[in-house]
Amino acid sequence: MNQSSKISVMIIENDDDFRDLLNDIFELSEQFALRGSFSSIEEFCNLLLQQGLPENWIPQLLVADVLASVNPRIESASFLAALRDEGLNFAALFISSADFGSMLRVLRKKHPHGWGFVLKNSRLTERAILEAAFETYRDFAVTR
Amino acid sequence: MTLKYLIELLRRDRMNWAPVLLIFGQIIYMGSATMVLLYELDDSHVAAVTTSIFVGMIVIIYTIVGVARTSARLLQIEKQDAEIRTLFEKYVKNRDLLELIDNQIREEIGSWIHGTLQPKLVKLAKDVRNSKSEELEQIAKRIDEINEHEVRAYAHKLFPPALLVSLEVGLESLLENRAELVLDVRFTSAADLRFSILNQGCEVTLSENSARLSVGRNLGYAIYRMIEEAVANSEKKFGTTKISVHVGLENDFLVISVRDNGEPLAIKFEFGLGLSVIEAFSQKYEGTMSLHNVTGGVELLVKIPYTPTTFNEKIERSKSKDRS
Repeated sequence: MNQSSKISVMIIENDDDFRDLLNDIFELSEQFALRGSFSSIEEFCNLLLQQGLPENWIPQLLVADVLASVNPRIESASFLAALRDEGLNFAALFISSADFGSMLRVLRKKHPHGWGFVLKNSRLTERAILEAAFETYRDFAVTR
Repeated sequence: MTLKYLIELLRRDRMNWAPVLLIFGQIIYMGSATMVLLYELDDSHVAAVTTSIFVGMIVIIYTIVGVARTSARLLQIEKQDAEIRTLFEKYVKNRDLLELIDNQIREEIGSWIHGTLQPKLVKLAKDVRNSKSEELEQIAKRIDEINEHEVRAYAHKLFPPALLVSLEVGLESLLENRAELVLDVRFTSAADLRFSILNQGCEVTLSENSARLSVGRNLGYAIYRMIEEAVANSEKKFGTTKISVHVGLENDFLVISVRDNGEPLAIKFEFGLGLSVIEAFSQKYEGTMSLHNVTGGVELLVKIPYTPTTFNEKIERSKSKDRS
């Protein structure tokens, strides 16, 4: 499968071990092309700012930990929803060990498509992550 | 009114007799002087006695007015003191109640961590060291169970993760399949929450265009807990099949209403722990709480003084506080 048909993905995860795991999963996957990996929203934003918010820099899918910010008042769900409000187009798969209840339902009120959630636990497999990522992107791509 | 205050003052403190005795002394002196004037004096003494009587009258009037005003002021201060004492006692009672609940939760979680979680982890670590590979799957299952059922439940008691995202997500999660929620649109995702990305230090902050209102983590937690207790109360009541929760703004107040269609309140009812918790939280934020029968059910109403503040205004305010 050539790179251009793969789904571009970036990762935002503050847990170093889990980020390394996600990097390996998406790098080795045939469906996805890993374009970047960040340890916090701030690190992601630094590069985004340097690029000047270009439409073609944003990946098709962002895989983000909900609480991946150095600022305790910022969480990635509200931040990524705000980027979607600004007109940037991407799907977002959230991963967390905490259960955020109705978070997806609230996010879908404004942007009905392209949100997914995976609960981080010891039974989570590479296949489950890739399937969730693909389903989230496919849900978003229907609207394009 | 003056006489009433005077009598009250005399009743309370013997020291207050001094000015009264002074007046009395003046009256006796003036009476004697008048008697002398009328019966014994020749013309040379009339002017002196008349003057002293006149001066005496002025002193008496001045003393009476002074005592009356002072006594009125003292009684007013005493009344205000009594009101302040009552309010303070109520504040202390509610503060103590919240502290008690907070301490109980900490104690419960602390006991669980020390008494249950730690021993289980110690046993698991020991089993991992001693086990054959086929037993490791069982050990992993036990760890998952502790994590997903127990750790998660206690972490939720400390602070519900959904509230970390927003008040809207917190309340939607709390009330899913339990109650209908109507939240003022200014607190929801329908209101803009814009971010600005600052180059210095890669700081991500909220922009001044952010229109969404903030209640802050502490008040947000209080709102969550009050609604949690109110809904739990409604669910326990006989006949409740529908609960609706409204959180909105009315003038300078944040208004929380929890209505159910269960059995009405008895004429005399006592506050249980749940209602006491709600009352304590509402008073912590200088608000009021009322519980009353409405058409078709019962309504709990909490009103908390609130000035609409956007997220950005809140952050700017805390930055100015840090700078000063």
